[in-house]
Amino acid sequence: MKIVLTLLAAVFALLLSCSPSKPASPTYARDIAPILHRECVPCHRPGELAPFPLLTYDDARKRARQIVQVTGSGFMPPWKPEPGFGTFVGERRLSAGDIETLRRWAEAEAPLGDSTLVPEPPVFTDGWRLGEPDLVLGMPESYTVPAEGVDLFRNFLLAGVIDETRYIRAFQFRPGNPKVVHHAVIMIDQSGTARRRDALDAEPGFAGMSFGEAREPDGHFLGWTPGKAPAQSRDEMAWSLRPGSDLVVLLHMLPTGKPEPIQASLGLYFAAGPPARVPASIRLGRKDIDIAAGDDNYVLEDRYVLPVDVELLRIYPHMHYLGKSVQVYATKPDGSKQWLIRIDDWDFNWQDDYQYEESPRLPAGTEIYMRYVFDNSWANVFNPNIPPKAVTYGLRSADEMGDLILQVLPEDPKDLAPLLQDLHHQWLAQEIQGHQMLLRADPEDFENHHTIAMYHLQAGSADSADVHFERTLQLHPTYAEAHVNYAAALAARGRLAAGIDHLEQAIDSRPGFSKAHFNLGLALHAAGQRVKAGQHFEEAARLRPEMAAAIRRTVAGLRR
Amino acid sequence: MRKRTAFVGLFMAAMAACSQQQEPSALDLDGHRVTPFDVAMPATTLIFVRTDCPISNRYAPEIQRLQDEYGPRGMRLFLVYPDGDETPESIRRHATEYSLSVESLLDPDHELVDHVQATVTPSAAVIVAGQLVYLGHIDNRYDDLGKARAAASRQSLREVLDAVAAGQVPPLRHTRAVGCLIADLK
Repeated sequence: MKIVLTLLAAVFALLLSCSPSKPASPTYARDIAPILHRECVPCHRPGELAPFPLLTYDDARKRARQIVQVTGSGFMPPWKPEPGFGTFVGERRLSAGDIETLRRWAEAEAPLGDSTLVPEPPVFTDGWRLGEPDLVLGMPESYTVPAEGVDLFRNFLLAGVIDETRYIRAFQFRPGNPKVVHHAVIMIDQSGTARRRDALDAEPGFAGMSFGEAREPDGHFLGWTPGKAPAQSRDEMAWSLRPGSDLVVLLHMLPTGKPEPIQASLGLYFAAGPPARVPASIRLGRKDIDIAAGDDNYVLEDRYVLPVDVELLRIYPHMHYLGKSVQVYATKPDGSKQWLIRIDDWDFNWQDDYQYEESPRLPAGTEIYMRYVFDNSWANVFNPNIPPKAVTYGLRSADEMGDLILQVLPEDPKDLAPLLQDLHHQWLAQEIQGHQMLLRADPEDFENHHTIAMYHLQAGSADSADVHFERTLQLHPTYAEAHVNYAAALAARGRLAAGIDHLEQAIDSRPGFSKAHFNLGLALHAAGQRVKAGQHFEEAARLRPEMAAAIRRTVAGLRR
Repeated sequence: MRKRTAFVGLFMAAMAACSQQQEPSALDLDGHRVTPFDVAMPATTLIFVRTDCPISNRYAPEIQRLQDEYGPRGMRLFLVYPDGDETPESIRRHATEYSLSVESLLDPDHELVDHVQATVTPSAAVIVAGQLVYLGHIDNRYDDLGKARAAASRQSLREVLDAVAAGQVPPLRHTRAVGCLIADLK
């Protein structure tokens, strides 16, 4: 028996040695270091957002199984767009082969291999990567992120002097403390709102995810996420920064367990002169979002038909914590379909704007279609409401948004103006939608009716405007501003008598309202009542002496 | 032959008895070997952490609150660092940085890790009268790596400590802890 067993063992041993040899286990030196250095180390090194370095063998060995876990699940490297639905600059993706190599290495107890073969870790330029900026703007004082709590969204004014209009060809954002900053968006405020809000908040900056008056410059989007290279525009596409503008940075920050001071800065690189080409931002999405508590499959769709031929440069899908998936594609006039982006597992924390490796060319008549899905159930771990509650559109992180921003460049620069005109109409429609939504919550909000009336007027739908002007004045009969605006809308359509009636009501409500007197003067003049008109022009000038000269010039012009 | 078998048997029994007496131990920051299971205390809680695990670091304020609230009620809390590369200095530095004043132990040979079978940092083990009654998360804030709720809906460790404080010996409970794998540290 014993002999038989021995023989069998010998045969097995022979068989094993004859079978094609199992590939040798990967080693750190030969196989793993190149992957980590290429894909992980840009963030996993001291001074970057990633919580631990992966620069050396010891770093990697002490995370071997964890690396297998997170690369296998797709958690790392963080890159949300699905492959095959658009190719983007700076994709952070591991190949299936790389993931398998990592797995086999960990399984073999993470061998070092021949230490002489370990490649040198890549060298990174710390500080300003594009050289010394032409202008550096920064947070004037540091802000301290508390040790714990929910994610923070805070806006900070960046101090610095812009003495003349500058054209910015590149910028680099430096978070100051990369451990806590997860995402930054830089906006321009020319309204002074950011300064006022900052002054009202005792701490540096002011809370909030956004504020209405901040704008992106000239069709550009200025975003930053960890690991992103400094953003450079194409040479001919610099964006302008005018004196009197405030640059405001919105930071999404995560507490780390200890108080973290942060002081961000922004380096700007000037172009020689104004841009030869100006892109435009197309914004799709809806403001009438209304997701019932518990709804795990709320679908939001929007479409936009391009009025001109464009080149699509960048895409930025945006939802908050209830977002689940993103699908965006273009249907060209010939019926062909081109995917622009697809994200099956939306994660607010890893949102980004994506620049196309090769810009899709989309001819006029192309329909861009977006379909977002939201999950407002318990199953969504990120749900900010425990238990879930109904959520509508809004700028706070507990509200929802469903926006898609596309940066496009008209193929023919002459097409920019008609494109912007078309986009303005589309924007008005979105605004009306959003305000209609607010009306559902409070149907008697006369301010809101007034705002909707004004948007309809701008959009050229006078009849719809009338309905909301009427409702505004029904709810608030002495609303002088609304009377004046309604009068202008009526007079523009030749309904002078009705207009005069509203202007008189405006003056009854607010006798010192110079604009009402002036407009009544114009209306009476048009109706041939010159004497009465003259009295109202005089009253308007008396009420606003600083405008008197301008009013008299207008009147003189009318008389000629 | 019979004699030899008997001798081997005796030796095995002695080994077993010896290993039963040998309670798992770890090193305190002064280099003394400590056996943290004090049966005189109502409960001993071990919280496994490392200095470079972002999830255990995010729990630092909660860990300190646990110490402040349950320490005076006779519960003993230890932070256990299973990374053999840590030193008393690096741990003291970490404690200062994260405002932690909790007794800390180095477990380079994973005696405590293996004893309670902890797998990730952070995770908590509660021992009452020498018996493990809880192993798992501090609370359920993390559902997965990178997936944290706005706030925890279950305070699992507190539930166990409250039960012990009320004089109960809760039945053994396991919950899923999310964090950095301890197995990599060996």
